[in-house]
Amino acid sequence: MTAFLVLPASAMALAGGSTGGGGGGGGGGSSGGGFSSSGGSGSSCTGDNCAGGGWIVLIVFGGIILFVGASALGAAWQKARMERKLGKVEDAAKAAHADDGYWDPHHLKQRVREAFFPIQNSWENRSVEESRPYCSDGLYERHKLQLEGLEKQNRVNRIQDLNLQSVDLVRIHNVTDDGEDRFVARIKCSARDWMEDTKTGRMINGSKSVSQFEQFWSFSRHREHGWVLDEIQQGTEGQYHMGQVVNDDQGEPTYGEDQGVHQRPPVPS
Amino acid sequence: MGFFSKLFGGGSAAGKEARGEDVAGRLDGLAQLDRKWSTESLRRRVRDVFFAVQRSWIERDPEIGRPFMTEQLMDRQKLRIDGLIAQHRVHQFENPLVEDLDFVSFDEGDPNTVDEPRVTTALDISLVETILNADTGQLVAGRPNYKIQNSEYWTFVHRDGKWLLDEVEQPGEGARHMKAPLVGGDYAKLSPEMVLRERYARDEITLEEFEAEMAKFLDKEDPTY
Repeated sequence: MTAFLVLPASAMALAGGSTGGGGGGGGGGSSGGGFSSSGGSGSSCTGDNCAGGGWIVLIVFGGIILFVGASALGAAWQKARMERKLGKVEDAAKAAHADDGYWDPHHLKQRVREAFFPIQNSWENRSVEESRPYCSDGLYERHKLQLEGLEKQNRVNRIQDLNLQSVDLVRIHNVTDDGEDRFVARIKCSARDWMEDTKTGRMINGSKSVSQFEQFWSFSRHREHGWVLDEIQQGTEGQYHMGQVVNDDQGEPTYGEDQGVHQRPPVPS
Repeated sequence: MGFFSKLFGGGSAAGKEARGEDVAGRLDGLAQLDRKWSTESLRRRVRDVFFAVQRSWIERDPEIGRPFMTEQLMDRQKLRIDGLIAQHRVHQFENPLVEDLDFVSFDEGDPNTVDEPRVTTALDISLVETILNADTGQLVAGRPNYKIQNSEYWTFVHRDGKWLLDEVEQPGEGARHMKAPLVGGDYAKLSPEMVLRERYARDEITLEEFEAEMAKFLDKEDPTY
């Protein structure tokens, strides 16, 4: 059945798409909190015969403690590194603000929050007009197409208990042509999110339990509405933003191994 | 990706990511001179095409997809949709999602030949897929509320100023794109001044435009040329 050439249309959980129930990572986490090292289940032997067993238990527990410790240390290092990166993005935004007057990082995050709920509501209400002031022309047209599709399919995307947990600026793209300016925010949110058949009221897909989501929202400049949402990428795809330079237009480019570059092109003098 | 999938299957995924970064870097290099290669614009275009093509499929209306695909693909799509209609089948898709998108090959094309600019993307898609009887609405195949993961290679050609979907391939046949030699874009980034010089050298702008633009850069406190 999967041999069909191209994939068809349909509904999206959360605006622009997401995964009902899957979301961005699920409950695994990296804290290793599942280990409880109570040690209560040791062997009950006595005397010299137990010496070998004792060493094994010690090695096993030592290994577990080392593993948990290394994981925690790695997570802490990653977190510190990420915070440094996010700090740099905010600094770059502040610097850009001095030039263009619309890069204040506080206002950028505020704009993301401002756009988030109306866009999600428009999705649940299947009313694309509600999101007009917050979407680029291109995304607006795409959402319109998708929402019309949902209506024809007799589907409605239920989104409940929506909670925007965090907004981080992960990238800015401040260039000479202001029309090309962009920024990317990583958002983390939770919601109960499922697709429903409007005729029967039956849940078609998704989950009525709370799921976690991670997405990357790209904003561009709109002549009338200022910063508008231009693209939504899922956590997996959008990870490349985290590795990008903070500001794509920050002076002399480097040519070399770092950018996978082999040679400089001929340029007229 | 979980620990075990990384351990046992992560090699090819890592290879795809590495190639994706390489190709994206080259495309962004080309985009310095020609905006059609901008990876951000391409990503948006891929999604626009993705959702339009899906809708044309589920509504069994090839016309919805027409603005987004080449004539050749359109003909094949139409044939398949005609088949669905003749069989009284509706192919339902729920919650389709582009989970990941990597650029895996490209060709700058040659304006002097029929060789068109093209770019191939590897898409990881998730969705619920069922086939229904169009008359009764009964389930014919598939599992409702069971999400599946697909990987496909989507190739786009640049024709009449637009990127159009030209081919969709399953992992087996599309794997060749991962090995295609990468030619062009052998620089990751040019400064704006370098771009200006290159555009002038290519005869894309006049001397007056070149000088006017360059004057703007020179007004900057820290020109980067």
